[in-house]
Amino acid sequence: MFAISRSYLFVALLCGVLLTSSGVQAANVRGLDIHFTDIYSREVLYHYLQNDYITALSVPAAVQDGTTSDRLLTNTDLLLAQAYLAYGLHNNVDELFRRTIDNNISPRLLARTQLDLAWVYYHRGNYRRAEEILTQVGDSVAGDLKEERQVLLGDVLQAQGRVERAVQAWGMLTGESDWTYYGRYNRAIALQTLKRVDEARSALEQLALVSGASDEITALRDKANLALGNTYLEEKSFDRAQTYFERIPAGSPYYREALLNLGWCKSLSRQQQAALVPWQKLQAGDVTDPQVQQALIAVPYALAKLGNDAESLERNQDAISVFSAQLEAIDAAIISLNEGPLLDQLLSLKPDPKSGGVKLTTSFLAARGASYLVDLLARNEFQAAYSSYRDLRVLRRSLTGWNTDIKSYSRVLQTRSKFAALSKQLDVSRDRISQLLVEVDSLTDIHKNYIRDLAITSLNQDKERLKQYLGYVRLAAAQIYDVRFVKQEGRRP
Amino acid sequence: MRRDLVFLLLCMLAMSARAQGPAPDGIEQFSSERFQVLEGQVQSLKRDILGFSRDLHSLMKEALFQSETQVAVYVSADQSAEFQVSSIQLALDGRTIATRVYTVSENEALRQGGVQRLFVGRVEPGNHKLTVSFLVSESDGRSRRGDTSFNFKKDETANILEIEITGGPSKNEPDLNLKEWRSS
Repeated sequence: MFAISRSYLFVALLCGVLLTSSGVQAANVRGLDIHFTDIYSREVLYHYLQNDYITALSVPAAVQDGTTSDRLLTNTDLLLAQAYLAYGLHNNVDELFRRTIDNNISPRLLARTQLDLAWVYYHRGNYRRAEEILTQVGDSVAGDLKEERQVLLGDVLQAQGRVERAVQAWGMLTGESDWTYYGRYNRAIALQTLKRVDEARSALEQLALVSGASDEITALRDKANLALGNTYLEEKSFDRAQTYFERIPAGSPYYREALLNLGWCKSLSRQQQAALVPWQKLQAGDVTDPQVQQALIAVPYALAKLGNDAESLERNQDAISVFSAQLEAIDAAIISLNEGPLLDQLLSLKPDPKSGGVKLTTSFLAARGASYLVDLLARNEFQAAYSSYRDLRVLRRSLTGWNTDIKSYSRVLQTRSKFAALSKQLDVSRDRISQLLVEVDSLTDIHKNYIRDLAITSLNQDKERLKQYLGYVRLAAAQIYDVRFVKQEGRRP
Repeated sequence: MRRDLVFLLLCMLAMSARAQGPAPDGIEQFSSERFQVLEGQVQSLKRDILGFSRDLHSLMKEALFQSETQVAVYVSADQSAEFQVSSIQLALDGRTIATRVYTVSENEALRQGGVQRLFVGRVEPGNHKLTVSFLVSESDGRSRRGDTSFNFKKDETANILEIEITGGPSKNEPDLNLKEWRSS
């Protein structure tokens, strides 16, 4: 996401003179204190800190030497690299890294920027390049950056199918930052993949008892408990599984799944009455939640097992009503996406810098079927497309602003004959802006369609799942009717 | 019989949910081919627009400003300052040459070490007086106005001036300094 200040554009700078001063205060770049000793770097910083990346990347004195490949890589280049990454041009950062590193460079900013670039390549599936960059970072970098490097290295290796090596990489984590916990969790799951069951359980057990950590690590702890519970449930060790599910507190994002599976522990160990307790608690939740929907199926099942056919039938009929209504809501959402209103609401959601996702609004959630899109909003594919869409909107505003500025400038220049050549050049620029605007608008429309398709695909998946659930409860209800009919037939003389 | 069938279906449902297994913790990759194509197009367009922005900067620089007549004035703020800069007006030899109202995010960028270019333009060689009028919002919510004048000499090279706004002895009252940047 970036914003562009257009007023900047028409103010030029003298370049080619390196201006330095001592005693400049440290600047905060990506949480690191960096000293920039020239005024142009601090001007880049001013725009960078306001997410105005295109202006930051257009400060002529700072950027002009950027094309000279034999120049040393400096802190200013790393700042520009951060701006390039935020603007979405990671290839330019790769170009910068071809240079020899200046001795005065901040090693932490260098490592930070290399890691950021490696993440970009990892997300885009270029694992070899990501691994190369991580090798350049080396393991001498200190603190949480070292742990982040190790976690990413494991992810990159695993993505290439080198799971044993990934396990080794994650196994080297020794710190106490959040990264270490993520790496340990990933290691545990990789060990499961490798069928190294005991090691996997031991790794999960360690995570399952973590306390006093951040919200993210608490959620990871609950996830580890859930994973252990599921493992024992599949092994039919119901009592052990129950222990892990019961550790997950009510506020956890994994609580509903724990309740559902806790019910299964009871039900599969033939304790239907006990199974009803977590399932009925779950059933009272939001009916758009898949776990709540499964509880709507599970409760009448347990009641039928207990021989309470009348109540089971009633609950099945309730579930049929709920699923039918939900299917209608999803259909309404698909229609609204195709016709525009829901798509407009979706695209007008604001980004949430804290979570990296979007801020949900009550008006969005109030739209029929919109709550089924919440999971989609958290997915990277949506977020990346949404981010590009917003970038394109910002680019449009910038181009339009520049166009207005050029018009006013041209009017002034027309009165001064010595600027006739410049006036002509500005006309050429206006034509170029018009061309760029056409390209921006075209790509914006393509992104809108892409986001709409992502949303409809996601809704159709929910629809298929609900149809399946509807089939289950209809079958269960029919079965109770059948049993009653057989009983009635049997009573006939 | 049918009850068992439902039971079987429910078990399959529960198991299929679990069979997906706990995903490794991390961020999924952008696997969609369609997205990758789109991303390539967006990158290409961003590159074009950045190139255009730079060309426009160069065009204006070359056409409008000659180094021997140029003066650039920057504004910076000290991290210790406990006030927000609301606005600054710049006058050269009594004539207003720039006015700027500062947002919260601009104040934050200044406080974190950034400098804002407030003015760049032609100034004839010789002695000049630069007057900086400011309005700041102090930490107790009160506004304070003030102005400070500086003398400088425009020589044959470009002059780069930085107006440093510091917290002064009380941290709550602005203190302005003029720094002249020199070639190293």
